[in-house]
Amino acid sequence: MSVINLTIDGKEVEVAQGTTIFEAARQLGIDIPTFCYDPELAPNGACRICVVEVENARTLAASCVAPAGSGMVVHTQSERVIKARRAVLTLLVANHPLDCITCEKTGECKLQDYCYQYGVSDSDFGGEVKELPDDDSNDFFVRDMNKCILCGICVGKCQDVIGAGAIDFTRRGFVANVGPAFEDAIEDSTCVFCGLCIDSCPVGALTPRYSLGKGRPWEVEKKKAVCPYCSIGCNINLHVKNNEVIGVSPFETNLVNRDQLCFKGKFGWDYLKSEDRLTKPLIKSNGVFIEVSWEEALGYAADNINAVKDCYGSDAIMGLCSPKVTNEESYLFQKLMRSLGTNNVDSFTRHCHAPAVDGMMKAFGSAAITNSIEEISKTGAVLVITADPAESHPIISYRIREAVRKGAQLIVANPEPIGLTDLAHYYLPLNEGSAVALINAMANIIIEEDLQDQAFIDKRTEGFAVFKSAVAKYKAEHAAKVTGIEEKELRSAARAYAAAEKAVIISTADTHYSETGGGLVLALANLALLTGNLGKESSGLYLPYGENNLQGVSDMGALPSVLSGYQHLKEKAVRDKFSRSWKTEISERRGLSAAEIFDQEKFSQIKAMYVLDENPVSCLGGKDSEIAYFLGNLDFLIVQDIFMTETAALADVILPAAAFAEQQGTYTNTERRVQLTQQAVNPPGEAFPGWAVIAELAGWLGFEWFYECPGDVFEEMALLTPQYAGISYERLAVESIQWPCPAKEHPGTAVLYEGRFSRGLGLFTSVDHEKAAEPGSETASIFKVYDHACQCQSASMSKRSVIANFIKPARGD
Amino acid sequence: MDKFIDRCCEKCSHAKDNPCKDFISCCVEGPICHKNEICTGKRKAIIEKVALNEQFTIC
Amino acid sequence: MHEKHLMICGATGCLSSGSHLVEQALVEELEKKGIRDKYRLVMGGCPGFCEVGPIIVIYPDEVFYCRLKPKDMAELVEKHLVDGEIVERLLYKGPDVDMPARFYDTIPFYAKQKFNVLRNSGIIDPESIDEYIMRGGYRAFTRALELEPAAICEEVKQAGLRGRGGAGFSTGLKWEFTNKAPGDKKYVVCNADEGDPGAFMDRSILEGDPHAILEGMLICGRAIGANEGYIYCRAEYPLAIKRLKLAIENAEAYGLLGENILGYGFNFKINIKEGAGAFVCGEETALLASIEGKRGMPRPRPPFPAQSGLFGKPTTINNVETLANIPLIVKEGGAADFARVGTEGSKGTKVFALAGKIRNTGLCEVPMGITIKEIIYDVGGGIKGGREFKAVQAGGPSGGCIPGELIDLPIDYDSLNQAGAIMGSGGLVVMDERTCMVDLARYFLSFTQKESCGKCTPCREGTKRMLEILNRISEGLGIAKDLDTLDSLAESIKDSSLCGLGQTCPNPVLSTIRYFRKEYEEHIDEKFCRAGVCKELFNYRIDEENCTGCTACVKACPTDAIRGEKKEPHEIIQELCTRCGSCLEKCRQECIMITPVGSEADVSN
Repeated sequence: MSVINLTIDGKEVEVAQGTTIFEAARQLGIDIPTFCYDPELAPNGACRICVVEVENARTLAASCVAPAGSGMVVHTQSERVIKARRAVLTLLVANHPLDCITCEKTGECKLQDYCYQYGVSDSDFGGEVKELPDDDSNDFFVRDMNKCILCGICVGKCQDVIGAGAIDFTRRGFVANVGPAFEDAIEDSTCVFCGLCIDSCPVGALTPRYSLGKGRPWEVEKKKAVCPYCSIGCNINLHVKNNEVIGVSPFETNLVNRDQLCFKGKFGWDYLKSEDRLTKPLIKSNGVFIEVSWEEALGYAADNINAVKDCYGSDAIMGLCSPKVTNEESYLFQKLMRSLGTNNVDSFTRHCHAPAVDGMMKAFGSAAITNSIEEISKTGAVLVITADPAESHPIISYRIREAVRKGAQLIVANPEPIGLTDLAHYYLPLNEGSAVALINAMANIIIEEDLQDQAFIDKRTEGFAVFKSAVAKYKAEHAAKVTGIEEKELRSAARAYAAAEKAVIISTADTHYSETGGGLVLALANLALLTGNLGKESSGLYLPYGENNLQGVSDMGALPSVLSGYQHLKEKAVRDKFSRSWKTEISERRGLSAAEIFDQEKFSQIKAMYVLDENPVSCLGGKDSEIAYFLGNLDFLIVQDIFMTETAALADVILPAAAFAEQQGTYTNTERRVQLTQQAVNPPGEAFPGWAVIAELAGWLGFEWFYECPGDVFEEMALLTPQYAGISYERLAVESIQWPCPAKEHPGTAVLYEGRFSRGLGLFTSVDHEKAAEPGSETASIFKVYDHACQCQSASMSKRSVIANFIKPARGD
Repeated sequence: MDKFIDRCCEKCSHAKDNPCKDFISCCVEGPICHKNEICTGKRKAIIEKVALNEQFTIC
Repeated sequence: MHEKHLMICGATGCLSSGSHLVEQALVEELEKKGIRDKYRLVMGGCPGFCEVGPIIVIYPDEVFYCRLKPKDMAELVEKHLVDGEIVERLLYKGPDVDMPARFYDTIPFYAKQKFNVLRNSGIIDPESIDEYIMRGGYRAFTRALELEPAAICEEVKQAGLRGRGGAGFSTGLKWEFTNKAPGDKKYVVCNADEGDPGAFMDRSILEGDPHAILEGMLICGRAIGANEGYIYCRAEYPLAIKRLKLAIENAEAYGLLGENILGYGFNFKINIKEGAGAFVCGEETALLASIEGKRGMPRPRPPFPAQSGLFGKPTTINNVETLANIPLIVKEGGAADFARVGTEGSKGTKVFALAGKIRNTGLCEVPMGITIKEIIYDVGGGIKGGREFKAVQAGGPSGGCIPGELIDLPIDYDSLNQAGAIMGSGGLVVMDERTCMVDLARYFLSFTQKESCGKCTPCREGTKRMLEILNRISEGLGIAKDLDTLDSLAESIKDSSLCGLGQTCPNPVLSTIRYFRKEYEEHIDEKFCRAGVCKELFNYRIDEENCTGCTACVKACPTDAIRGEKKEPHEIIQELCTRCGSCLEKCRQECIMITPVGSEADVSN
């Protein structure tokens, strides 16, 4: 990459060839004004306020698009430039409602700022001014197109970054406008309400409804938090005024979600203020809940737990943890269970993901996404199979779009078209249940045409020979019949995947979605191993989890057979280590798993349950279901939650917990990234941060735990958990860290398996298409299939939010 | 031979999938690949039908 | 064998004068007499002299009949075809000839013209590929297949051809850039989105000689290394599109388009993409966006189309007239012949559309370097009605006006630029003292404001504000600082706009202010429109001394605003007068004056 030198405002600067004048000026700390420039979009050159004077050029140059030239002499503040900028501003102001006094954007409006800077307060053209009606049609935001300055950023984001394509420029000349096709209301368009247009708009044309009249920008404090919905864990700013969350925006730019969100993160937080929030501890007396003090509730709970323990033994107690709560809560929860003498602790919907977990454990030795989300944008090929990232993990679909814009090949294999189908180079509408056959056929084609990465296979894997002969029967013509995909298409797709230097596979961890259970995961792992697409950047296997802390709840050891960091109970050394730290004995009996609840015999041993932020009654059949019967007939049921759910209705004691914005804590997203969320507001009423409730209860149960803050909890956990050993709140306050992070100086691990797999060599495992058609776990038929995170957990958050009507119902509802 | 694309006789081989390099000049000055008065005459006839005057064609 | 060929003009101008009815009548007459088969009738291309249309030219007799009506056909058939006698009353007559002119060589309109691009127009049947070949078509292409691509670029460069779409960039150099750009896939694009109001030069070529464009594109493809091309033709030209489609079909049948053309291993395919009614799509990058299926909005350059154009591939975009010149240049000896015509900086010929207050309206093709004076008076026949030449607008909505004092200016890219005008696509609107320069500027600006794509602030908002000022001035609401505001706005728009439309749309305003500032000031300060166009700013008054009382104007007035008895001087009642101008047209004494509102003075001289 060659460099060139140029002079801007008398200062010399050296830049790479291809840099624009705008970027070169930035390097010198010179801020050229702009409305239409955005680093995520190709330069537009529309607003013309960034014009600069280049000596010997005929016209002024738009610095955001003009490439810096060797020896150029540029003036960013010459008289000619100032005149041109004032002209642009005067023209904009002439056609703009000057209602700054009440405009929600006042104080952070670029038009206002530049007018101030260049001394433009009005225009004396006195001509026509736009008078378009507001688009007031939807629940989420208001569009006042009279304020629009047609910078085009929203159009670029909607069409290229998000891919929803809901808006574009319409009409021409003075009446040009931005809006949906045929000037429909935004509600009737393909808008997905991700909010990106709102957050990118430089003026006050787009306003979220939740902001209207709530506060001026300078009255708002911004607190960094992590979105509570899906396992991407977008970084958000909670806008706080007077102890109330009044808005959300993306947290500047970060490695998880940059400056993007989806409708859940942007709009789905208003459940925090729902009237259904639990605000006081409750005890059920004669079938009715009465409000009590914390002492009473915790004392009552402790007494009853002890009673069950004395009467039936420790293993009569079970803890049901949640993939939504913080790591600190999960860690303390399973510590409590184990301190009580049982390993009966698990989380429910982990079981949707069990086949995926088992599959990855078998192939690699670890179960986690192998690479980072950000890396997807730089890959050479993307295979999306039986998944719909735009629905389940929108941030991933944005990265896929970016990768395609940069030249990556996209293969979409799904029985029905998904949003990404339009962008795909190869769309394979495979028959339901034939995914394994498809992948095996692709693997076979790759072997037939000698496109595999033999060096990688030889050095880093085992089991290839057996796999090769097993997959040989998946000839393309045969596979064509099973999958319904023509041989020619199969070959082209296989070649496209194999030919790329780096390729990623994206499916979903919720393999019931694919109906082929763990078999598909093994087949996908085979494909990645075959082509050497592991252990290097922008490659790998992505099976993202559903809920925000599904990764964390498992990492923390809220599992019946392992402790935190997946250290096995069977190992005495492990038990001893924890024992010493916790000052309690640790049983080596494997605990009951959540799925075993349905085993009447096994479950009948449970007499008491502590349910943490979970709602099995709603997920698993409603108040007349078997599970409701089980739970209702327990000797004692404690439910800790933020809402009065169907499960809570069956409890003997209810403990009100704080929601995500109301407590500090960490979540671990699906790319193994540990992120710290801040407390932005106080919990309502007497609700308390969950970790503190568990710690208090532990105290009532006689355990001497000393934690002053969640950071203390994390510190203890980190000492015991090798993958988290180098992570601390101090470090997390600066930046998030991906485990494994074994030491304080270790930067964290973006790419897994760079040198070796967790099990040493990667393992090829043959999977038969017919066998794989059976679901991988007994719970398959019981769980509904969820397309995205807010449907999980009975949609308790989202159905109490303005986004309720925007969620597709889960399949099977 | 009604149009230039029609072959003047079997000797002509010009076709889309077997083109002749001389096709264009052959239209007016031809036949080029062989000598035949009748073939020459056929071309003249096509031209004469539409030529407005003596100076119509340009060789 | 036909006895005679009757070439009937079926192009724009003559069609709107009813040439299809003339043709129908002619066919009827011939059939009545049972002699239809003796004669070849061709609805052909444009011979250029639209003012005197409908036109029929008879060969080999070489007789040019004009101003025809359907009822003339009986005589034409009887006298000329059957009896062999020329029908004198149907020949060209005018103040520039002593006696009726028989053919092109004696019609002054044609005297200074040179037909390069229009060489086949009106001479061939536009739907016949054979006739195109007979007249030398596709020889240049055959030669190009023998040459190295870089050599073709060099020849075109040496010939000195400059882009005829308006910018005047060296065509050969443009080809060279694309030739040098790396990549296997390249495109040739023909810009047939002729958008300037009143321009129909490209239309005539497309309708009258479509193969010239195909050949030009083939040669370009060979020169730059492209194997596919697009013709972007405005949808408002359905006949052109029909002719192009047919030409492509025929060329494919003849093996001149497709694979392994003429056995040289060269492949080329041409697609047609219709426009959708947007002037801005005549701009290169907006055109490309439109072909790509996107909204027609310009993109910033760099990257230039030569590096990254259609679908991101290296692309050459050329105007129709530019491409029509290419076969002439690339044929054997063509480059030298081409360069012999024109000036040092502007070689070859240019097709102009003459419109406005000129006697001979129509299309003309003249060598570069001809002066404005020669075009207006020799080719154009001077100002209609014997009035004074005031100015000529060159280059349509992007151009500027050239006033009387610059009438000796040679037509040449560089000299026009220096005068504040541009060559543009070739539209010339001639104006006399009854043209209001403020109104002219307003007309062009209202066009560009409607056609502005809306992407960039200066053009979208600035043209609107300029137009509002001009509207106010023409309604008598102008204020003192309006001219400064116009100047200032115009400069900003020129300096900051994204594309050529924005950068040039202030030109009509700027050049009319530059050369006719007094007229603007009169509109603003004295609220007077001297030309009698801006209706709020003048009155018609009858000069009582010269009025003969003929009552012609009284009868003509639609609002009964003129009072007067026979042989008595008439009077216009200002309260009823709508200034429609009907009386002015009818008055044979030239005694109706244009005066400022509320004034008695005769200022019409």
